[in-house]
Amino acid sequence: MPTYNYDAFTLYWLMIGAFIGTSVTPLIFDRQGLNPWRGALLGLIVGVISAQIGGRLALSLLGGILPGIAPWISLLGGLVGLGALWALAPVSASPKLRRQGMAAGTVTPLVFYLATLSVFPLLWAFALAFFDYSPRRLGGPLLGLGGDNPFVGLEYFQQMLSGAGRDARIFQSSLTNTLSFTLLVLPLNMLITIPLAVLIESTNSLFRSLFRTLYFLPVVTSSVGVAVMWGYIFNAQYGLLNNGLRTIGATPVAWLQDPTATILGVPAAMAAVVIAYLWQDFGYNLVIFIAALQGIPDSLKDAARVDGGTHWDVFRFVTLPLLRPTIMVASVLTVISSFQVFDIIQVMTQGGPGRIGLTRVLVLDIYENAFRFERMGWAAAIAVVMFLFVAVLTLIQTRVLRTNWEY
Amino acid sequence: MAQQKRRISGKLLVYVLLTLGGLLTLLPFAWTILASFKTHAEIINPAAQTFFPREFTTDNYATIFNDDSLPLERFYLNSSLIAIINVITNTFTSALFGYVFAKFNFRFKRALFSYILITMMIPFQLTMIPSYLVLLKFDLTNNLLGMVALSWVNAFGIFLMRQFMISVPDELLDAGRVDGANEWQIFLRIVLPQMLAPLATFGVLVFISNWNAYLWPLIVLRDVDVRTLPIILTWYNDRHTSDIGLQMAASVLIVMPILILYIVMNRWVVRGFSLSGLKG
Repeated sequence: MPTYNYDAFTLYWLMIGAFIGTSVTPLIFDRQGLNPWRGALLGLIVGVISAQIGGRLALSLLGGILPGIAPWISLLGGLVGLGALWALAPVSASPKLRRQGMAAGTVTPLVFYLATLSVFPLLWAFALAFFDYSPRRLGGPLLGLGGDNPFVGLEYFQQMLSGAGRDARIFQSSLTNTLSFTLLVLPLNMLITIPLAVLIESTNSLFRSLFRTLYFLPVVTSSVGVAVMWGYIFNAQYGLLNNGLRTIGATPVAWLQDPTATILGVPAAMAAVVIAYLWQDFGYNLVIFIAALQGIPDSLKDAARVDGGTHWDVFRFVTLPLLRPTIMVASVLTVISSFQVFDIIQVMTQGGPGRIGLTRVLVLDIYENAFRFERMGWAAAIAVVMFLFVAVLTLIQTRVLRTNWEY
Repeated sequence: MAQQKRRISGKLLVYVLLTLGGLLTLLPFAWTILASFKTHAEIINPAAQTFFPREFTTDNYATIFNDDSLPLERFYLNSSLIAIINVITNTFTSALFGYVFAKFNFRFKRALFSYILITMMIPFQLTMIPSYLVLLKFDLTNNLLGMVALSWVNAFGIFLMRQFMISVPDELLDAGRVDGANEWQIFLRIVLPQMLAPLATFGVLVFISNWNAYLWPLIVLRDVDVRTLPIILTWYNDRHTSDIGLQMAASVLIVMPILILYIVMNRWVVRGFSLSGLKG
């Protein structure tokens, strides 16, 4: 008889029993003229209990005879109890209860889903930040917290602030790198996208959609693909860029490897990942700006032109002020997304070059601590700090969005 | 007359600038595709570098297709399966819950909807550690099921579809009820067919983001044979660090399907992204 991972199966039975119970029972209950929400609750209880008993029975009875399909049959254990429950419901139609049945039968599973797979992991994430947790250690009874995975309180946050120890120093440099990455990306992105959007908007509709399609191409490209392509362009020996530099007689740069090389005061590797990121990302803001420009009434621009304004005047005094709300929103979105950069950097530089890593960013720090060194408590603490940054930015964004802008 | 001439030359300048910018945008693609047809000798000799291949070869592609340790069709299947299943579940649940939030009244509706909006703002990096631990408990790591198990509800999709569902006239739903259709029939036969356009837009977005996803599959799929294309690309390149032509050919094979999908469906994609206000 095969051995089964009963812990995992218990969870499957729980989830499946709860889902079938809460989604179908309210539909049956509306026929009986009973409150469908109560039906959902009853379905949840019957479904979960029946799934645990039925599943365990099916697995232990059939496991020896049909090892291949016994696990699948055991997943349906909830139907035993629920089938009986449903069969007891006589038919009586009432349209009002039917509507409630639809709501109850869809909302209760959604609430169950959110509670188990969204709220619960979120609370778990915050809890992890206060424990020295590794999934390899058994730990305490509740989620493996405590025991071998001791409670450390605010120690991680104190370390991050004080910068004591190697990990804290790496964290601090990751935070600095993330901030400088973001501060480089934001203005450059705006400098490219706003003028480009104005140019594209001034063309006729055929060319407008052609250029938009073209400039948007990198956005849908896999970021790993982008990183590989740009990694080749920045390649020290064979790259396009260094070939160009050699042709004009300049000294080639080991863009991704040399920790001492700088371009205008920015480490060469940082400049390289910023360029790759900008290339992939600018089409997104471009589309937002084109849409916003199309929303500006032509009459306003015409009025400015009739008054003798040049193209530059129209841009400076009509377009730009009207574009300001869009610029605010696009800026916050760009900051949030570049704050979470990972793919391009992980593939192009792995956070290097240099001892601590000149392009090591927060998400890379979280990823390596959590999944390479299995120091999930420390990683969760970093993630909480990152969450606070993003939350503040999001709050700013919702404030901006809430303001009513009218032309 | 002179002014008109100036306007025409100004217009021409705009088109020239935009075309140059477009070529610059395409340059990395072109450089990659052309490099995938160059011989190894040509790539590693800086003196012999030209933009177009001097000696056109398809050896790089032949090497990849004949590599027994790289069952490409399997990785295409993995990526497509994950993306398609997520498209199906996400579009269906988004339409369903969007409809319920738009057209039904129940207790705690506002609180529940606010919670869904809030989850859109929580960075994935915060929940990825416990989500991984949940999958570990379910014994679903290293399993394609793990890539779809936690993602069949999409907060943004519910929000988006609710906006569209509000515009469905109540009279239409009531007419269905008078004709004796039950609530599920109304949803499936009356509401869904009207929502095909927004659902297609949203579906394409889900497909692209799943196809290109890197961090989450990197965490969950540790065994080679369950991996998706982006992870395979880095894995393959790490094994062939010196052979750039091979790396570029692999990149072309992995990037192209999504670009073709995009070009075919570009109207939907661009509209979807500008609707979303969310970055991939």
